[in-house]
Amino acid sequence: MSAFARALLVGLVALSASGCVDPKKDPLPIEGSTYRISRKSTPVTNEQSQVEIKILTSRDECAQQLGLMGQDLEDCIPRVDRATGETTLSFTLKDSTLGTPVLLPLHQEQVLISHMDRKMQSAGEYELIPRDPLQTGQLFILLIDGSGSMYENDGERAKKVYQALLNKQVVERFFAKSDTARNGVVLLRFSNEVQGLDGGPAQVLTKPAQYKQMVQGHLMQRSGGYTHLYSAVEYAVTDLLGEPAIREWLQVNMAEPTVVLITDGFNNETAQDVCADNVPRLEHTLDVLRQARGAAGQSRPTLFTVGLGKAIRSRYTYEKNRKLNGRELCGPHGDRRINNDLENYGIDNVSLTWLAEEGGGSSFVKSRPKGLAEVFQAAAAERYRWYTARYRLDGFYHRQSYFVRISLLAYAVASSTVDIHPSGWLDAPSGEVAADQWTRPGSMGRALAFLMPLLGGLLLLSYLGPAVFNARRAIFRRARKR
Amino acid sequence: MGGNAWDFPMNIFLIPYTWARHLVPALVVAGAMALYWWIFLVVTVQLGPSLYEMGLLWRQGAEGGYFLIFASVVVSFASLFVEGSLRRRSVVKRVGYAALGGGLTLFFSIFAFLIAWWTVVLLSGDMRTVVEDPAAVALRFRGVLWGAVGLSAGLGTWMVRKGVALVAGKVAERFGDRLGEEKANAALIAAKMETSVGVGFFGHTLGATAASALGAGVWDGVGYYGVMPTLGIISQDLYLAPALGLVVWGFLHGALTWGIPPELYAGWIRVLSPFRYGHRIPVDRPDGTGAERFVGHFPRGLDMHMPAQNGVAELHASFVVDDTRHYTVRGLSVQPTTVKRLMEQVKIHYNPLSPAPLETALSMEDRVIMSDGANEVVLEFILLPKEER
Repeated sequence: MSAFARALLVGLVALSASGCVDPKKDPLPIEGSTYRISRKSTPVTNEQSQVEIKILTSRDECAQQLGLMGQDLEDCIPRVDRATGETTLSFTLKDSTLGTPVLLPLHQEQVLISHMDRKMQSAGEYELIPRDPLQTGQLFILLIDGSGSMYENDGERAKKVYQALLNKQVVERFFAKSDTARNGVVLLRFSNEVQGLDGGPAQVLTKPAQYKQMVQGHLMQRSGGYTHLYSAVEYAVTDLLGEPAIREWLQVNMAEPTVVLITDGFNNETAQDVCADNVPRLEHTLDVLRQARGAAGQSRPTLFTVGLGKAIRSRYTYEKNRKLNGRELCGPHGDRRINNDLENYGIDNVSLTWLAEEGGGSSFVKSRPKGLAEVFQAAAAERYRWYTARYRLDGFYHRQSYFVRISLLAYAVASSTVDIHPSGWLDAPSGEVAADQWTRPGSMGRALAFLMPLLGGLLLLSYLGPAVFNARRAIFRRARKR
Repeated sequence: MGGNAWDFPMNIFLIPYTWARHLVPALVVAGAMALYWWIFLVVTVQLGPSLYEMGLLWRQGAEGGYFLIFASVVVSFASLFVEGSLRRRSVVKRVGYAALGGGLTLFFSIFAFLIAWWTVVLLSGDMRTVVEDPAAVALRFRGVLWGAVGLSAGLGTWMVRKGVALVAGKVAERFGDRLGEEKANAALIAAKMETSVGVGFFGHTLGATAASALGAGVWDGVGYYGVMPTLGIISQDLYLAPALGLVVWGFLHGALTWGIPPELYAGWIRVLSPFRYGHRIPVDRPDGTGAERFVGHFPRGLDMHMPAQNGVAELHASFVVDDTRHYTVRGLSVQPTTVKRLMEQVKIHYNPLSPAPLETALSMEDRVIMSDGANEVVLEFILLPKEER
């Protein structure tokens, strides 16, 4: 072999090698397509974010992180289809510090999907499919405001709570039947102190009959005192969970505690309290809540808050990075007394929002029993291990690299992006549209089904010349039968 | 077959000497490109994940390079391979020439692609991020790449054809005595033909570039607009678009760069009259040198005997082929001899006052009518592939 030929060969090999992927770094191929996807999703970092969205980008990730097999595994891996403009991604939620799974009852409105800067909720068709419902138990801890205001007007607000708690669907949800998991409910009343609804110690109710009996027998019993709302939350997420009976029940049933706080006013510990006094108290409660949720080896409580009545600052919107101060918590009412003043105008929806946001749950303001029942259902909603998000845009948006961002709109501040690179040259066969109008992966057999007739046609055309020639000669009598 | 068989003039598996013969290599190259598209797709989609794990899959930024460069290699290989098949070269030579063409094309294509790529990037200005995005689908920035590799395919193919012709000529000149007269003559004629017909530099480079550019147009057009999208036939389909783009490229490359040369055909004289109907004799010599075939009723020493009672003179006409493969017919008798073709007839009977016999050029399917005034014999001149016997 001449030196030139050898140099040429070496050059070609080097050139080929430089064009090959580095499996540890380069985007990996999306199965069944010509697209590539970045190896790992990139979480949008936020120091206050406790939850990380992990977008699953490969078969290996789905198998290793979720232990999926069979059809579940097929449903988990990313899918794309340029012809229909569809992108399908699966994700799971993790604790950003501990790395443990976070199980939430997310639904479509609570997850924002963005294709580059286009929000799918408004720009295209989008669907969120929860996968693998939680098979562990849940302990619902209902913290019901026992202050005097709940029983004013012939116990109007307490009656709403009563009706909601005995709503058939709420009861069914609290005590959802499962082969492997068991739910329980703890009913607590708080005012100056926290105690069981019947005035005794906290007890776990595991049967609907017990629960109904407790609500019917004790909820409407009048109590009184100030509203030590923050202290009640602190107790529920720390001391209560540490009580032997509760701790043991949680351990035995591998259950997650869900605290639902129900109140009709403000945190009000003395008659002279003004709204701004609650700022350091709330900060303390939030710190306790963060610690409780971030502590390793313990149950991780989720907090939902419910305000009964009218919000005093109905236009308030929560922003994670904002600093908590008198202006933030009370608006223009920082110096106004709570007792017999502010509490007469509405409920402290700002405190409830902050508590729920830090507690990984949601905050609601409801005034009717039906709305209240929906809140209980939401708190008791099924939680899922992982989700599949799929959306559809015009295929034109697949003619360049793009990123998909998945963000949580509830429970926590979390967001994650993944880069997708369609091929700039060719596509795999388009998928088949299923009954639900979403595409299932296509088969490469379709390419063969296109190729074979094409080759057959070309072959036929190549015989057309002599065939026409001979036919023409027959017509013009230059070919005869012998 | 017996009495029911039609006496067709040629085998259906061969290519008749009509204008449509130039499309046959084009169809073969188009078929090769269709096959290439499918293989590339299978490798990318089916084998991609496994190749990725082994580190053997191309980076996405290099995908376009691999796709187009290998396509140009396939075009060149298929074009030379089909030529080798038509020339009935041995399998080793057939594959060897095709592989040489593919190799040269690979070499040229790599450089052409890189040069075209960097030119586009450097001239892209504000659009640089779009140009550098390997996922961007845009004829504006990718068309040049198609053209560059198309040009390379033409260049690689031309070099092999030209090289083969030159080498054949040199070999015949230098080693003719060792090859024997027949082989040496054949080599010289092949060299002469290959350097003069269908092996033009501009024919190859411009034709190949135009072919790949039109392929790029089809690729983008089908991918962006579709084929009758309002009827839902193919709309914005980047799955079929590259297949159709490559097929068009292959077809046009095959059609524009190389036509089937006349030296692959031989002229025949064929009887159309009832007596000896279908009987035919070749005009050409096996070594391709000039020849003259005589027709008459003289019983011995003529190439084709036709009976006197049918109006044929003793030495009526002759069919001639020269070294440049031009065919003519000469009238050698004073008896009527007429050449008929579409909307034209030429009388070439011998004129005793003329010092030389009359002759006229022959083309495919011309009829030569020999007569004594009362009876006539009709012959036809046809060009058939050399394999036809």
